[in-house]
Order: sequence, then structure tokens, then C-alpha cells
Amino acid sequence: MSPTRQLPHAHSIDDIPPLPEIYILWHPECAHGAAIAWQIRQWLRPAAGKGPQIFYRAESAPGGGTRLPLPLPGEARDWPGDIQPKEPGRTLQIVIPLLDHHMVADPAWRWWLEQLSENLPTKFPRIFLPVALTRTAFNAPAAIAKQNFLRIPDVLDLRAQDLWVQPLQSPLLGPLLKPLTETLCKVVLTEFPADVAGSARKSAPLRIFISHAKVDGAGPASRLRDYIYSRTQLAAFFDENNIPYGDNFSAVLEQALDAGETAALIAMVSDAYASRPWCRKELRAFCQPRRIMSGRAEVWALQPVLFVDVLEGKTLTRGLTELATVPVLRWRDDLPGFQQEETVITTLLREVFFDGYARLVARHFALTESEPRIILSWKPDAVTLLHVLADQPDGRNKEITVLYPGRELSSIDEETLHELFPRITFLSFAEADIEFAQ
Amino acid sequence: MNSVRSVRNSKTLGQQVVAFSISYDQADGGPRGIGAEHLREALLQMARPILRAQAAIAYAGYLDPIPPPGCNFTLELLNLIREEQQERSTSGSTVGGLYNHQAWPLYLNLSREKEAEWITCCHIVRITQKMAGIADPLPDHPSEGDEIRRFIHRAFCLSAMRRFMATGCQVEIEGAPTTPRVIPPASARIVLGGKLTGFAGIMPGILEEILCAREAPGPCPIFILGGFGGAAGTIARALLEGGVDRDPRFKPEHYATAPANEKKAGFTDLLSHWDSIEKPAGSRSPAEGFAALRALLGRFGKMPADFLQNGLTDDDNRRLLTTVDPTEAVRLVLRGFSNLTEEKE
Repeated sequence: MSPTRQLPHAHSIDDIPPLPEIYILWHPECAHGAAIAWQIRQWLRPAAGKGPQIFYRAESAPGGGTRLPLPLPGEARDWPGDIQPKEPGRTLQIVIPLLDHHMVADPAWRWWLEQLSENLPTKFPRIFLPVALTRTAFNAPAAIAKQNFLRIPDVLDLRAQDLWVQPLQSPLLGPLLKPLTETLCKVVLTEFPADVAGSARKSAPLRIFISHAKVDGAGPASRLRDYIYSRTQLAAFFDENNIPYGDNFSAVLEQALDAGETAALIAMVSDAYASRPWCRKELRAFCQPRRIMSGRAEVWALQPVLFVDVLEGKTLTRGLTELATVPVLRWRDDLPGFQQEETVITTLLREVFFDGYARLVARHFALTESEPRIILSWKPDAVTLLHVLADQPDGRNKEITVLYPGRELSSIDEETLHELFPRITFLSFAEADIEFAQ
Repeated sequence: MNSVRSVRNSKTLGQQVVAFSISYDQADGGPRGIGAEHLREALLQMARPILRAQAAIAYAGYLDPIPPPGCNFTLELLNLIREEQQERSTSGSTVGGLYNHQAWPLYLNLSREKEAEWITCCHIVRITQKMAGIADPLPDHPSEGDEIRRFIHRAFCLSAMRRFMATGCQVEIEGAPTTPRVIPPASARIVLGGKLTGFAGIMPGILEEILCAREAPGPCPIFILGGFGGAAGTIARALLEGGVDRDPRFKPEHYATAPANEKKAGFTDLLSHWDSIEKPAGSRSPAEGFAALRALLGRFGKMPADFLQNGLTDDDNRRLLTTVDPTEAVRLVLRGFSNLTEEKE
């Protein structure tokens, strides 16, 4: 039986936080606004159904009635006649203004920022994550200026061609995408609707377990831990520092999991990792699906894991079932500064964000669906699905629909799952969104 | 069964061709808060279930990469087809491919190497001057002084291409002792964006494609995602509000003085030289093209569902014609396909 940690009981979708959607604002005269917005979207919404919807607001709305962009849903301003606003839903508007002197000083834009930040919608929350591109950004309207800014002060000195690159190669990865993703993680991991727009979501640091085989040395693992403590607002959980003498890492890890403390795990897979029983035990504990919501529709979650390849190839090793579907990064010692650590941590944070978003979508489906469903926060594979079904009265013979995040399964994955679980219908969140809106 | 599933499992859609008209123009997308990446996401979401139903896609784009923030939709479709083909290669099942229509002279820039790279995913349909019915074709290589004639011949070839996409055509396999290859007609068309200035034909491409789709003998459901602006937005407004006879955008004179059309050679030249140039039989002038489109749209003003015949209700079509939410647009298109396939099956 898998351990169960139930989320606070929810009777309706009003009891859980709303689904986030992101609006990125930049002034049309801001030199790199479009490139920065593009970077953010590439990073947080790589495909349909993975991450929240992201919209832009920069150029004047069609029709010429105003110099301002289209309104955000919920604003009092009129929309042009030939455009319909997005259908109003129960959403959390996350507004990311890219603040430079144009946005701060342009009277029309300043008026708009004041309207957005002071006249908050009553039916759904709106929060601001301001990004300072220049020193003058801090002269933004008061309600925005009092926020803690993300800062990328030298960005306007960069060449345009350096910004139109994939996020992992981008100079914005460390200064912008990392803190932004970290902040968004806290937003999607908030459990109560009332906390979404408040300060409660900012209090608990995300916890990162670093699992490694000591016999191969702690070099890269210690570098990650040091980086986490010195350059992020995260907390690292590393067996040399954080385990009381006499306890073992695995027990502490399971305890933390059951208490809902943990965010994610980095498996530093070195030559000896697969053969170390404690490493396997840690991984198995971590990669265990957990039911987080019961009812006619059940929600199951899996903690996010990142596989960092630190193999030296001195001895023969083998693959690990638990890591079959997790993202993999190769550790490189030759990268300058903290670039390697930054890449690992920012990538892991993104996995945490996608996972948090998927859990939220899963809970929304669970509370709006009357049919029995199993809703997963990860893309199903045979092993994790067996864990989930072992908890069901009919086991593998259960006839049910399983929902999962992102786009459709690949053909080969679908065929494999169909052979093993012929009575289960698999439906992606993207498909379910289309289906359930009928 | 849900919309996506019913589309991808559709027996009636298999072996059919779904045409896409899609292009991104910053001048239209920017003010609507939409980038090329939003359209790319919507395109892939619509194309995947269509390909899995073993339907083919028709798209008249080019294979040259475009650096970000631009997006080459042809290459996006080809990468999707390749990914789906590779995934299915183990089971022996197939997915549809791409009919990539290219009108003279633009296909002349396509290298053998590039065509070979994509040949398992894509059939390039070259619309030659001969296929366009041009009696006195120009040489492939441009020479000084023939710019205007080349522009007009290109317009003839584009008109032929749009007609052939709607009706199907036969393409000779030059140098081989065999029968021509049959290129099937599009059995549905999905339209979004589209240039309104700097176009190369007798009228903005999407307007001519919609005209050809409606004039074709077979049924052709049309899905217009009008909220993203461009030529699709212009058609959307005409369908929603009527008054097409009063709308200058449905008259050639409106485009004659646009700066992008005044460049040499351009639409302005095409208009001024039209009467003096030898034309293929049955070719349509800009004035005739716009008049035909006005007549067609005039019959269906404020009744979009009757014009589009796409399985959606008037209310759903009104949202599809105006929404700026790509997810909602995809949802509506797949719902329409689902309704159409359920009717048939």
C-alpha cells in the first residue's frame, strides 16, 4: 500500500487555489522586451498543456482607440469589437511587467499599471511579479514598487541575437528564469486559495534532496548544496549536513515526504550509484506515487526528480527503473562560474513548477468531474501505474479513465500501456480540457 | 468519445487531406498579445490528431529556416510528422504526410538536398507555368526587365496552386514512363492569420484560398480562427457583421496604394499591366476575384455556420471567429471535426 498524504479537504473548486495564467507586459519601445517575454514563454510553456497559458501585452490594441494593449480579463476597459476576451474562468492572473524607463514614465502606461495594481478584480486574484530592467523600474506605481523585484539590470546592454536563443543557453537563465521559476513554484504549491495572493506562499522554502553515492565522492553534490545555500532561497537536504547522527537518510527522507515538506530530488548518478542499496532505497521512496486527494476522482502525485549524470565510466553500471522517465542532465566540470549548478537547479525548479501546476490542474479536474477517474500529476508508465492500481479494489482489471498532464502519449508508450492495461482509457489534460468543455 | 480521440480514430478522416492556411504577421499578432509561438502551439495541437487519423496535411509554405522570434510552420509540421513516423515505425502503422504546394518560381530555390532530407514526410507539389495554363512561359532564370511579367506569371501560378489545392490535380513525373501522380483535393481547410499587404497573387492569399475552397465541387468545411487578425480576421468580420460590399478590403483599389504593394514589382504593377498581358484561359482578374468573394460572402452575412459548414453551431463559430485564446480555438476546431466525423460514421 502506498503512503497517503491527503491535501486539505476540498468540496468544490472554490476550496482550492485557482489555475494560474501569465500575462507578460512590456512597453513597445523597450529594446529587449519581446525577446525577454519569448524566453519566459519558451521556458514555462514548452508545449500545450505543460505549464500555464502565457499571453503578451505590449503593442497598442487593434482599432486605434488607445495606445494601450488589449485589457487583461476582468479590467473595466472595453475590448475591440472584433475580438472576444478569453472566456472568464476561475484563474489566478500572474502579471509580469518588464519595467524600464519607458513603462515607468509613459503616462498612459503608468495609468494602466496603476489601474491594474490598485483596482484588483473581485472575482479572482491578480498578483504581480515585477522585473526590473533598469534602475528607474523602482519608480513604478506604488502598489507595484513595494513588491520584491526580480532584477536583470544589465540586460539592455546585451545584443539582441544573444537573447533569441533557447533558455538553457540564455544569459537570462540564472538572473531571471531561476528566481522567476522559484517564485512561481511557491505560487503553484500553495494549498489554500486565500494564500495565493498573500505572503504565506512565500514563507516555506522549497526543499531539495540531493541523493548521491558517497563512495564516488561528494564533489558535484557538495557544489550543488553550496550553490543552493549561497545563491537561492531554497533549502538543500544533504545527508552529511541535515541528518541527525544515528538516523539514516532514507528514514528522514520518508518522514519528510509524509509531512509534505519535500519539493524534489536530484539523483547524482555516478558509477557506483545503481549498486548502492541506500541510494536505491532513497530513490524508491521518492518515486512512489502518493494519493493526495480521494473521492470519486482520485488524484495521485509523484515527486519531481532530476537525473544528473556524473558517470565517469570507470566501471560498468546499469540503468535504474525509477529514473526511466525523468529528465536527464549531463554534469560538465568545464563550464565557467556557477553555470553548471545554475542549469541543474533551474531545470529542477522547472520540474517542480510543472509538477505543482499539474497537481493543481488535476485537483480542478477532480472537483469538476462527476465520473470516477484516476488523475495523475505525471505522465504514466507501467511501473508507477501498477503502484496506483495496486491500491484499487479491482487492481489492473479496473475499467476507468486515467488523466495525465501535457499532450498525448507517444504512440509507442500508448501501445505498451494498452497491452498491459487494456481496460484503461488514457486521456491527456489537453484532451480532457477539450472534452470536458463540451 | 472525446473530440481529440474521435478525430484521431476517425475512419472518414483517414486518407483525406486537411489544408492549413497559416502565417504570422507581427503587425496583426502583436496588438492581440500573440506571438508566432502561440500559433505554432495551436497548429501542432490541431495537426497531431489529424495526422494520427492518417489524414494528410496540405500547406503551401517554404522549407527555409526562420530564426526566432519567427517560426517556419512548414518545418514545424515536418518535424511533427517525422516524430510521429518514427514513433510508429516499430508497429508498422503509419501517419499522414504533408503535401507541400509551391508555385513557380519559388520552388526553383529548393535544393535537391533539402527535398531529399524531407522526402519521406513530404511531397513537394510544384505548380509550374504549364500547369497554370501559361502559353508563353518565362525562363526559370530572371533577366533584366522581366520583373513585372514574372510577378504576374507568379500570380497566375499562385491562383492555379490555390485552385489545385481545392480541386486536386495531376502532376507529371517528368522523365519517367508512368502515369501522372494524383494529388487529392483538400477536404477541409483551417485558416488563421494571413498577409493583407505585400502579397504576391491577384488578392491576399487566404482570401483566394477561401474563395477556391467554396467554389470547389466537393464539400470543404472551413475553420476560420479570426481573432488572430490578418486576412482571416477580415473574413471573420465580414461573416459576423455583413456589409461586405461596403468594406474596402474586399476591393482591389484598397490594396493598390498600400506601400508594400507599390514596390517594384508588386500588386500595383499587376493591376496596371493586367489588361495588356496575355492571360491563361479561365484566369481571373483581381476585380473578378474580389467580386466573386463579395458575392459569396454577401449570401452568408451574419450566418457563419452556413458558409463554413464545419460542424460547429453559429454560436461556436462566432467564438472561433473572434477568440484570441489559442486553446479555445483549438478546442472549437477539434469539436467541429468531431461533429463532422460523428455525422458520417
